[in-house]
Amino acid sequence: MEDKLQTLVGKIKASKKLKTDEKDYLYKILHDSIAGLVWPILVRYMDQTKLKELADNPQKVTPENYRALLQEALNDGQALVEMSQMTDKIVAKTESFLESKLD
Amino acid sequence: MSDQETRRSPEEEFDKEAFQAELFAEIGTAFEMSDLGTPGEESMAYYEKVVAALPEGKLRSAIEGLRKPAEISAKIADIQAKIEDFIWPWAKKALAAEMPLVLLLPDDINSKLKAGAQRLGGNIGESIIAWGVKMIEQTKNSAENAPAPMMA
Repeated sequence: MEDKLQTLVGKIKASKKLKTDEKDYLYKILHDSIAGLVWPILVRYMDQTKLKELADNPQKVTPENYRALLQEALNDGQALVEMSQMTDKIVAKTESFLESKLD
Repeated sequence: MSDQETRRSPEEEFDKEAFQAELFAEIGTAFEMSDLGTPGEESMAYYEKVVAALPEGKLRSAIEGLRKPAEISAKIADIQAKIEDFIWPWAKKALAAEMPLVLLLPDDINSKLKAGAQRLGGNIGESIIAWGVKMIEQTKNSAENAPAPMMA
């Protein structure tokens, strides 16, 4: 997936049709898109009981228990597979949308 | 007609809002069409409260602390035996969403990524986040208001 993302970033950078501000925007939107799909997937894999407990008791939030929430979400591996699949779609769709502008 | 006159404005050439709307709609559709489902608003609200309770300095500590456990997780290794150095880039990409800065902005992003990849053994995710943290620190020193991260 990273190869595809890097390839797309390379194409955007090399595009003579896109202006600098448009390129900057595309880098941002790619980041936001990836971020926008990563978190919902991760949150779905978090321990919901612990998540609610921390949300209800923000004074208990520490780097350690935040890290544990993330770690548990990543531990079964499926979240990563889903992230990869979804990110692939975003990169492919972005490339498709930009097909006429990446020359 | 001058070259300037023949060229359309950036808005005319590339409708950013329309592009964003279409891309985000695609993301939504991708979720709906998959078997993945999405967390409920309640869960996302809980998560946002947790993040809000975590100062950014502490967040960076959490990010750094995540690396080793992620790399050595035997369970992950069993499931994804062939994805050496895969977990950490993804974890960092996920965590990058926390950073109140766009991590892929500069025009010379490719050279930065390549340099970072070479320096960090090909780990693009790591190079992005390391650079992002640096940018955040620099920005914090010069401006109070950074763009907020976008949450789906």
